[in-house]
Amino acid sequence: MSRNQQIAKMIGRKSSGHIQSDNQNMIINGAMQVAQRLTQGTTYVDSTTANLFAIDRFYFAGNPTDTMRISRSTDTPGGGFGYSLLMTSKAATTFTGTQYAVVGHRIEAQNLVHVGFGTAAAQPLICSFYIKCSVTGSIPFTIMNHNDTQIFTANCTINNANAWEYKTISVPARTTGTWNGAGVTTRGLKIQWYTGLGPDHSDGGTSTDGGWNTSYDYAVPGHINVCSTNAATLYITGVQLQVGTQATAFQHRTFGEERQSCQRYYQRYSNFANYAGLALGSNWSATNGNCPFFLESAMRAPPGVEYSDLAHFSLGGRYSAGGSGAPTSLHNDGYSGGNNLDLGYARGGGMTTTSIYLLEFVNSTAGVSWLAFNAEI
Amino acid sequence: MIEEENNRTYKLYKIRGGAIGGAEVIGENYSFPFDSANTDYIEYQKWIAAGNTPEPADSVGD
Repeated sequence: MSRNQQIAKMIGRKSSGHIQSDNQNMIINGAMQVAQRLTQGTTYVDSTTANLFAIDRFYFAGNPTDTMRISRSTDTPGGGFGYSLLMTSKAATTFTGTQYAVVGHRIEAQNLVHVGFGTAAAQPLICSFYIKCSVTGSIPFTIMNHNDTQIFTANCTINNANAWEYKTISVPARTTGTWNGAGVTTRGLKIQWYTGLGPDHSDGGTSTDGGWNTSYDYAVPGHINVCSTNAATLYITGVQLQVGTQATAFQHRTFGEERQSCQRYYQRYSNFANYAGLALGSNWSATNGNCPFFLESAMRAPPGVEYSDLAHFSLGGRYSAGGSGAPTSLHNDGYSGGNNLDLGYARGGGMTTTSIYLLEFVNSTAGVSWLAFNAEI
Repeated sequence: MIEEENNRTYKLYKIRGGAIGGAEVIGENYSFPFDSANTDYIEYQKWIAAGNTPEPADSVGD
């Protein structure tokens, strides 16, 4: 018995030679608990542009666009799960050439150092999840590195339509290729379910069920395209990726833990009361100024700024500066880590240089007005 | 390799001192700073490399 196995036995945890910490799941929000973008009166997001999110940390993208609608469902397999990700196809789309539709999850590179991919010390992985689909057949499942040059493919086979199934997919250790690692805060690895894939990425002949390739083959021939059936549904929850060869029970985390982890990548602040103040700013011109904005926690990278209709915001002068009006833009003028962001604003004019202005929500309908910071990978 | 389709168009924005600090995505109520770790900036750089040009920033009032 190896030392690792001895230790695993002492702590009462199954092991196949790899010690797994209590924080074994590398997936954030695998139980779909956090959906910051869906809690403000919005119940779904359509795939109208690339790299969108509905449920935190689970992106979706496609070409052609607008093939999918992503929402959150309370249909679950039980087992302590409250939610699932629901993909509904918007049409019977035919995928040609390199066209695709995908739902996935990216992991930050520095959180994968212990996996050791690209080195002789690489560890095997196992991915487990619950899935329910209205279409039977094999859905392409992939794992890729940061630049899509290392590609693992597997069949995620739906045996029975509209029934929850538990899947485990074994990923052999990958000792070759370039993988981002220690200290890298950008893309490291992604897992994906293709809901549509054209023949140029599935007929190359190098992909196998459970193997790696470097030829941009993302699926084993014979796969299904869920989005080729109009109104098809695909539910996923309980997603877990861990080191080892044996999947363990899903690691349930508290909502607070998951929310805090998600906020490294996205934070949304909403209006729950009319005239809810956001920040006090100082003008450096008649059209522009800056506010110190305090984030709930540090973000992965200098974030982009998202906002609801700018008519929901007001910039009002204080101390006789006078006048109020909606800003014409909001932006990140400086961020170097921590929770203090320099939020820039612009207004068409009429403001007073060096005067103090209050940035606040004005819309009285709770949930309509929001300001968010986006550092997704 | 699958390249994510980028149908966005951009308009630059200025920060204190008048330097260009980032870009607004036209029609999306979204802006992002020019920082190499920002995913939207990475996509913007690809868009520029493809021969596209953003709209200029608004002038700063006195």
